[in-house]
Amino acid sequence: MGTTRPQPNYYEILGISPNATPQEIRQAYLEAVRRWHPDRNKTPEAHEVFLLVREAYEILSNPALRKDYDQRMGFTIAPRTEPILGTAPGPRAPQLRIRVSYDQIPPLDEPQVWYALLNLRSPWPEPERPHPLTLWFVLDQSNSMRKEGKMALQKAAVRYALNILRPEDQVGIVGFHDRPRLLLPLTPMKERGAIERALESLRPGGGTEIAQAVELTWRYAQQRLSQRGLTAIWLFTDGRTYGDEDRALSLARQWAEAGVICDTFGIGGDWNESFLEDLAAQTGGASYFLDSESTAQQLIPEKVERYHYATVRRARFTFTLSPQVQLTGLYRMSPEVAHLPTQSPVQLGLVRGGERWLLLLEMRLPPLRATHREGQTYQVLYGRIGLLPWGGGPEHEEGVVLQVRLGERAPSRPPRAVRHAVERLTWYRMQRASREALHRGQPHKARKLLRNLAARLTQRGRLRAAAQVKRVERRLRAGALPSAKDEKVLEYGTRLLMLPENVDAARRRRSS
Amino acid sequence: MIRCPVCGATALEGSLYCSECGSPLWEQEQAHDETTSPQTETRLLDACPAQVQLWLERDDVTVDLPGSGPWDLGRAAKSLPLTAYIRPQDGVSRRHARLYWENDRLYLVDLGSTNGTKINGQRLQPWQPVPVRDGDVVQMGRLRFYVHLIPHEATESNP
Repeated sequence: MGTTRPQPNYYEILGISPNATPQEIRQAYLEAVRRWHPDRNKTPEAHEVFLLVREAYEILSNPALRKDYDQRMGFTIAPRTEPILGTAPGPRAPQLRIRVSYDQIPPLDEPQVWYALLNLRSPWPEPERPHPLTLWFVLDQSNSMRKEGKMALQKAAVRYALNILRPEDQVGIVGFHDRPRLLLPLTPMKERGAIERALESLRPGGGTEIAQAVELTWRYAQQRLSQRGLTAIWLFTDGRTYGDEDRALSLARQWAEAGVICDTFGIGGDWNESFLEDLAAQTGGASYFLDSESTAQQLIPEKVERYHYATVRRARFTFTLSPQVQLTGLYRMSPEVAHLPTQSPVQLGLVRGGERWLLLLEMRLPPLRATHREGQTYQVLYGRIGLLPWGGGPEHEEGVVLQVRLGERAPSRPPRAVRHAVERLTWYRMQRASREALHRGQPHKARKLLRNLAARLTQRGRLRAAAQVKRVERRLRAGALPSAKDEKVLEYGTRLLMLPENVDAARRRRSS
Repeated sequence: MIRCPVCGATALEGSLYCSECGSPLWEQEQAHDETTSPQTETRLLDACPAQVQLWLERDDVTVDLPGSGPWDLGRAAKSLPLTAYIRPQDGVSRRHARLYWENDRLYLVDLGSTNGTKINGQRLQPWQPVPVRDGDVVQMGRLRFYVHLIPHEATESNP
């Protein structure tokens, strides 16, 4: 989306949805005329708005012109609109649905928060045959992997992937401690024996140097990027890397450009979760806490199959924010929870058939009272999501225009989906805030946040999660610090709560 | 700035939930309208150790709570177990309190009600669950009832 102003959104001007009936259009028109007629409304912009209102009615009241207009606009861009009725399903049909916390907000003297939830489906069906997959395992063989069965867990996780990979897939392995070593060059899955021998050759010894490991992996991976299929890099670690985070992150941005996805898997309690999360998020991947073999068993085949059956090759969100608007958070709530970067462009990762992307945007709008008036439409964000198909062909584009009417706060409640998404995000942040309070040396505040979180989870029927939170709270009350593993359990527990209810339920069904 | 009605923390305009206590900051009265997901019920079905009976002294009626909970008590909907016995002057909120089983214990939590909830005369902090024992007396606004826990074997042998 360039800098040109898009065609006016006539539905927005009349304050109706794109599937409004002719009667609704007429009624909205009459109301708008009463409100904006220059004889009655003396504000400076009344004349201009009045002309727009008439123009809107001219187009929308004529079925042929309206149809033409709807098609040109690909009606998915207005907040809280349904896909237009009567649009044939097909690769070009609009796939994006946007809901916002409030579609009308007051222009205030102070900043305010505003949320948008983007629900995007792939325009293409799941492929009948899986895409060939090139999977690089970057495996931790530092000394600490000796303990607590972590090495066995890592190997088990890799085997869950190997078991579901197909003969045409390829695997490479890099092992790392103080320095990385290529344990297995890219090898077709047909040679499973060689892959197993490389996996068995992992020997613990030394520290954790992640940047060198990913650099080495990239040197090899780059030479053999899969043209037909997908290349993914899976980093497993139980530790922290010191001082080389930025090198690894800038490398991850190169991967994103090349269409390579990186997923990260933490083992045990000591790994640096924000680093692993950022590393994965740069590429549209996700980070996980592998606390047990059963987690790996559930998670890993699901991930491999998502890559095999991905409906798009790449999904990328580019956007421009209006001046002084801040994107304070961008969360992918489905299909895999991730805290995405807030700098455009953002890689969204992949979905398979039946899955969708669900993105929650939290924005802070500047004080608007001095510069804006009621009745105006305030543009918050312009952007587009580009979906690249498999096998060539142009990107499918979905325009993302977030705008909000200025006026009295709508008496309606925020849409249910937005409320739920934000509520889950709030739980996640309470847990995070509690840990931050603890690390700042404010155990009292940390406990209070945890108690409040447990009460909210209880009230919403999330009893297991509430029990986990209470357990940590009790430990704090007794004067003990929660173990690093407790913290990971909380972090990933509340993160999973961010999944939408139906996904959550489907997971539970699958796992039971 | 807006102020959270439950904990008093401040938040930016337009915020939907309080970052300190997690309470909804959009229209309060409707905030508690949502029922618990049905999954909760099935998950707890096996774990429910006793039948919960509420005895309303005033009307001398016994209300058996159906299923395994959680049960919301209030005047929000006819389907809630106590609604039929609540009078307007009782000062009971739409969703006043919740009873639920957890780890074989029955808990009571006040759902941020207007007139509060007491157990054995002690006022509950909103959103802070407390355990309930057989024979405890609960007061929601001015409505009083006793909680009785009937072991399952007993309900089966004396229907």
